[in-house]
Amino acid sequence: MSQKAHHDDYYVHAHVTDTKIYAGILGTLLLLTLLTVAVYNVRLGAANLIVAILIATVKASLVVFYFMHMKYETKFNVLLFLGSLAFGGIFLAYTMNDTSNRGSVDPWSGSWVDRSSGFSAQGGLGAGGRLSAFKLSADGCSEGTWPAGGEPPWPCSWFAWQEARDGSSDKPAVAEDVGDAEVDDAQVDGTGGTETQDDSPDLNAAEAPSSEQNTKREESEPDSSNEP
Amino acid sequence: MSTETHEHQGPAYLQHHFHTPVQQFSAAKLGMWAFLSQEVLFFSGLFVAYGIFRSWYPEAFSVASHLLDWKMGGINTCVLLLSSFTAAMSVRSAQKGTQNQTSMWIVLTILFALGFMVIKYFEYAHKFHVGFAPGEYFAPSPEGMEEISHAMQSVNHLSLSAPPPEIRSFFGIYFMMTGVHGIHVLIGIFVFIWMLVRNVRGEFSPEFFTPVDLAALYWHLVDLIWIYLFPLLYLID
Amino acid sequence: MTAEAITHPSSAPAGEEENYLNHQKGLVSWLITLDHKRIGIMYLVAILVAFLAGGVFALLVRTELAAPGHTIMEAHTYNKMFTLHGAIMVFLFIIPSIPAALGNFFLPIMLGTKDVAFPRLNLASFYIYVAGTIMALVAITIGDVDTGWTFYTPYSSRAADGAVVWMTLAVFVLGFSSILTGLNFIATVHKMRAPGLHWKRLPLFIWGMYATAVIQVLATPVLAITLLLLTMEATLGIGIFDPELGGDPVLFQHFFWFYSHPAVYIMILPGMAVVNELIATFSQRAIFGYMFVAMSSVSLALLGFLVWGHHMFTSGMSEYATMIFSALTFLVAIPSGVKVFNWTATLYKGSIRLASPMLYALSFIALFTIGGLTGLFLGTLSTDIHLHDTYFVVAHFHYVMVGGTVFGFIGGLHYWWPKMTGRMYNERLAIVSWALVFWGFNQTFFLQFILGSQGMPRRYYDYLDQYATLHGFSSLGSYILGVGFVVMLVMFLLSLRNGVKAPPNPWGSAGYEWMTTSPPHPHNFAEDPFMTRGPYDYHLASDEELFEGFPGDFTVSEAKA
Repeated sequence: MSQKAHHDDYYVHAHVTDTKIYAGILGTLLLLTLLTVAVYNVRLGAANLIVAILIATVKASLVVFYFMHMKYETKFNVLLFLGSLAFGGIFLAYTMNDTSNRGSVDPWSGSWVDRSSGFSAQGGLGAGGRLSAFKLSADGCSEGTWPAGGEPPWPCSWFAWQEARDGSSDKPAVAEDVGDAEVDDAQVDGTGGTETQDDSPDLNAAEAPSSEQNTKREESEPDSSNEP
Repeated sequence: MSTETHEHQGPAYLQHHFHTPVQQFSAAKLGMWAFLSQEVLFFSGLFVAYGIFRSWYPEAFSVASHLLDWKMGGINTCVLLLSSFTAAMSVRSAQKGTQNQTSMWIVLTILFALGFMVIKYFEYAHKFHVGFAPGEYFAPSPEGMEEISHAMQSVNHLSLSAPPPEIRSFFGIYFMMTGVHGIHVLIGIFVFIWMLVRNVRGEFSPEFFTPVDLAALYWHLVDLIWIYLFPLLYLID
Repeated sequence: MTAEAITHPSSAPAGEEENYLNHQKGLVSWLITLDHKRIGIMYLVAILVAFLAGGVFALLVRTELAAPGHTIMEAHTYNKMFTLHGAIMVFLFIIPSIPAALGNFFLPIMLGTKDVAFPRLNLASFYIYVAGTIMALVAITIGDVDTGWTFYTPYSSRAADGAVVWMTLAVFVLGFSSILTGLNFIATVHKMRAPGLHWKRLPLFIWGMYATAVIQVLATPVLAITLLLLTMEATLGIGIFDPELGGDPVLFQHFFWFYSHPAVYIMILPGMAVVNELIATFSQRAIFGYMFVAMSSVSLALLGFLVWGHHMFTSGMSEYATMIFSALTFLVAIPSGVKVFNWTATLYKGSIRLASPMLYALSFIALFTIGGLTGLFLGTLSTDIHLHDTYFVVAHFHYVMVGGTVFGFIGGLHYWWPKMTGRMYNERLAIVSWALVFWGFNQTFFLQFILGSQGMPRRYYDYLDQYATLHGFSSLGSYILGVGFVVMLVMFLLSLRNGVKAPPNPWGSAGYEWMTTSPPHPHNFAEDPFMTRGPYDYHLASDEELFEGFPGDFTVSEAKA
């Protein structure tokens, strides 16, 4: 039993946290959960995401510092954990630096608008970033691009369903999208169709369907004024 | 200290390649924090996918988020927070050496975890029932269509005429995130059952409570992930 | 607390002949062992088998490419061959090679401890590796894996049969083996160092392993989630990577390279780590600028996380992103340069002995420099447009991966062979095999720089006649390389059969691992060591330590007391 001599640094001595602290933390966490839900029901709009993340981070910090005892951890353990968060942040920030800026310097380099459909092509492919495997408009859907006799796939099933309950619907008809029918014809071969230099941005804008996201895409298109 | 032989004496829980319980404990803690770090980066991939798709398809995410039941998600958040509390308490009683209380807190943790999974099951069951299944199985039933129509009215500030087709992508990400998280919860349940067995066997003491401590650390991380998943998935304006 | 004595059956004093190989007998004692040395040996055998398989695939690929058109196989088979070569070499051989085999064996010994921090996790990591290997074999046998080792979408996610999914899951499983090894090493280096072994005395091999372990823990999980998403994309079509479903194939490349670029450092840092030891021992000098070399490993590990986008310059990524990634890529040259210059400075005025391990170390410096400098061409946006996906890239990464990691690994294997097996090998045969490997390697891959700069695309089955001569000579070089490895295999097998018994310290090194018997005691050292000098302090090491080793490892602690 010679170890008795080293008793102080030999056996593990725990930091026992008071029950009151744990209970207090639990109460705070539950209150913050309520707060998140309350904020959601208030409808903050664009701030929603930021507030939600902030509250979640406060909650997470409470869990890490009190329940996980990070207060008593060695510096390296803290560094390791925070480092993993930092690398996760780098992963997110760098990747989004790409995905949010495609085509913003040279709109022609990445074929980010599919000429045949006007749909944005996030992946830099001609196939289109939206669900181009399916028709987007009611008219496009009625052409029967799915196996005969089968149920229409999403999102065409939406239009089929809407048509079925037509009479009772008080929502605006989808007839607004009629103008896109011919566009949808030309669309979707999934492989080719990469952007070529010869079509002008205006052409794309004219061809684009009235979908909201595409409108948003087009807003940034005038960037391409550096095109000769 | 340097003259210790290999037949060194020590408590039964001390593994032969460690010199002291303190060394064994701190190595275990370091190993666990390294493991938690890799868990964070494992989930980071899902969060990156989420962030990018949300930035690309904000309308789809708004509509689809309203297809989830935030009440169930909120209750599950509370259940998981409670289980985190009981997990912390189980470590505390293990540190104090009160074996029966430790068992009680571990059992409570397991029960809350099971409760989380049961609620999750009902959520999933409903999603599959109305056809909001992941990937190519995404085929909303009329009931599901009704829900989509209702959700579109909830976000009428977006004035959509048709649902954004990427609702499908949202559910792909939703099932990946909650599914991977759910698997972690299941693993946690098994870990705590194991802890319960070891505690009943009387393996833990105020000097040796490392396994309970590590299990609880893992459990808190699972809770931590959910703290972010809940607002990100259920509470999009 | 009652303290009770624990008796380890193996630790009964049995004289100096007791070592980790003979203290327990039988296959089962190996399969359930928790001894890091035995696990290291099992890993070594497994990865050498993988290396052999990957090498055979490489030779088949080179044979097909020896002449234009159909040579020995169909294009479809060729696609499978280069995929298998890449996937096996990367996931089954290079990534585990030095850390899991040599690192497992020597990390605890060089730290003066009995074992890694978590021996059971260590064994688990080995069996997870075996499970992943079996899954990879299933994938190979049930269908066509022809995606290349990078599994790019949408080709991989639309693969018709399940083989690609199996291969993906195999790599997913192998990743966990790598994570567990890394986690174990981090905890071991932090918590298990012998008394007197503070951070500034840590052998540089350990520093390299440590930096590698950090990457393994922080990067590999991203590969895991990437492959999980890919599996779901292929089986369910969740629409994350497939552009027709609203996804983005370039996103897959981000995910993949966020792991796989740091993984390049998982591959090269251990090679550098071994070379540190070789250079120090065979010039009998302390490594010049020890702390700089140590920190360059750590900074390479961290920088490795910031530059993944340079694999994707031509993928349609945003221009802002390409510019930032390119600029950051050049930063990698700084720590790499520190290493090369410091090794060179160490050689200056050293007592250099050109023993076979040292030949590999010197080859490493030369080949890594070529590989590194050609990387600058690829990291530059404008030149990369021309060189991307050509044989220039193939040559570049083979110079780094083979000329770097494999040469480091083979050099380390020679260097530590006497310690691991207790046998010396035939030095003359070793030099012959080194010469063949060195010559064959350069002939194979230097010509590919020229091919690439002339525009020969990588992964092509057929090519224009204008490339025929260089391809022919390159294939010839690969056979020389193959013969070199066969000679080496024969040399090692002969050594096992009738090699001279190795002394504790055959190379006259001051490193800690030479302080114990060859092969080492089951607990590494008969008594727990107390480090009184650094591993490169040749001026502090006695002649007895350097040339007779330490039968005196029994008396070190007494001398201290």
